[in-house]
Amino acid sequence: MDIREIISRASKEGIRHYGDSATLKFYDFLKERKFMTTKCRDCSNIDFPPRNFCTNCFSENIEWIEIPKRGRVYAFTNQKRALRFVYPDIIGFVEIEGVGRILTKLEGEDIKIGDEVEWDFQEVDGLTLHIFRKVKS
Amino acid sequence: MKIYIRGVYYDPVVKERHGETYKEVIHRVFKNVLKDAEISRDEVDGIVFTPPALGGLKQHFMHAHHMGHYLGQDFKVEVMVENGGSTAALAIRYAMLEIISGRCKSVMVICLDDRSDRIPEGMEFPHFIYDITIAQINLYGPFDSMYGIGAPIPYYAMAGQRYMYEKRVSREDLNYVAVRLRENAQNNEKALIRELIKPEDVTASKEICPPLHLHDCSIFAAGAAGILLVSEDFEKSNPSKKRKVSVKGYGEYHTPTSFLPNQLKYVPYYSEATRKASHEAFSQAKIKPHDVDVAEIYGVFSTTELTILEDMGFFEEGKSVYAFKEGNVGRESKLYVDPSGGRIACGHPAGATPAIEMCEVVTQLRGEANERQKKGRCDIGVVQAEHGMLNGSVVFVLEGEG
Ligand SMILES: [Zn+2]
Repeated sequence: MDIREIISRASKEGIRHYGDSATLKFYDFLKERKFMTTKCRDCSNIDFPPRNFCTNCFSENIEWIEIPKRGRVYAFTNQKRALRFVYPDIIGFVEIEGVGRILTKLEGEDIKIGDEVEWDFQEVDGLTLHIFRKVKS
Repeated sequence: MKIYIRGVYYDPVVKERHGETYKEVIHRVFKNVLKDAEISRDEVDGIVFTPPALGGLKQHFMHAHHMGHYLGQDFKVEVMVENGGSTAALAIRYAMLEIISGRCKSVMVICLDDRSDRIPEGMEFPHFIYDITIAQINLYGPFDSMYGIGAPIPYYAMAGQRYMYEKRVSREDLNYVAVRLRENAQNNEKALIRELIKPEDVTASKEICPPLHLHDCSIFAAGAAGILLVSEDFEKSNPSKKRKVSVKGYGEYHTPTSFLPNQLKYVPYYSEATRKASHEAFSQAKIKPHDVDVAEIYGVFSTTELTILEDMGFFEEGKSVYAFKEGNVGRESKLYVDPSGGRIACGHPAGATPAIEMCEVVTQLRGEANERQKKGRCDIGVVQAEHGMLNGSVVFVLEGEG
């Protein structure tokens, strides 16, 4: 079996085992090219990663909302030996107002702390993942 | 109620262990701790283990049970404790609680770790890739791990980058962390890396995850350590000939974060858990940071070496780097930081690291550290451990008596 196919199968099994139904729903949304997380209808808290309950007030009265399109680079680095992406494999945390900091893949020239970025999607190992691209000023 | 650290021993930290199996290592550590404590095996009534390796693909189900059987001894306590990098610290805490509860008078803690990044003999590569992918999703979660996180380095690199940006710590100044820790390790025959380097050698070493270079990082290693804790009654009826070292304070705190926090309310390059654990331990011990003579901390990267010292209140935010630059963390300094060489130079077998730290602090407080012994007063020591990326932290305050 091809190594990429093995990583794909292991990833699906890992998501199922170490996640929950909200995790599966998050990846299903990504497949439909929707980048979503959960918001509490009772206290308005937004959780990322998504959950079936609110971590702030423990209410289970939650809804799925779309994550705002733009954020700013909080920090970034690159990995030289990771299995998922080819070099330059730049990953970073993007800070999104009201939501949180999200680990993602970054694309664009000369990325710096504070750069404005917006989300897009990329297919990797049978999954659709969010990535963020630098906004050209 | 007082608890004494009666016996300590740790193995030289090595890149890889050869010749002995983990059971043989545990038997040998057990004997060496008894020798240091000057007591017989029958006087040990409880035993606490860490897993033989953190992570890795081999099962260690019922490890404590198998070791009790292997050692051939009755115990009133026989258990294995695990929570990432804090594992050994929490194993020591478990032993303390058994003594505090009155059930045990003398509990041994045996901690070890081995390299677990190898393909097990006979396993085919595709099978290994499947298992390692699952293991990474376990550790880094079903969200982050899809971005190829295979080690914690990227998180520390990003937190460190932001710390340096916010606190204006220069790359040139950061080089001094590895320089000084290697100076400390020079007199520790058990340290893994003892060659001295110049500041420019750090940035000349391979870039692993910017801004971190190879010399900024602790590397995969194998090691083992044992600690014997005893009750006040035990110590009174069977006094040690060495300087007595007691646990004067304990603190522990955990925030609901994993590696670099997603929640905006946390400052990712500092650790609320370390601040709260330190405050609790220092309050219980009735000390202030400036009372501490020697500290062994869980600084696995140069940047966290700095931020932990600031979280613990030893230096103001953004200022700890100057202590390294000015050479003010060695045996002649007021605060001796990581006399063992710390994680970066002594080496970092994660599952054993907090116990190695405690061994080193006890050795300093007893005045037994020879060429690396702290000059001047050496009465109060601290040991700090963490897991994730400082999402949880454990702090002990130890005191040398008399
Ligand atoms: Zn809520």
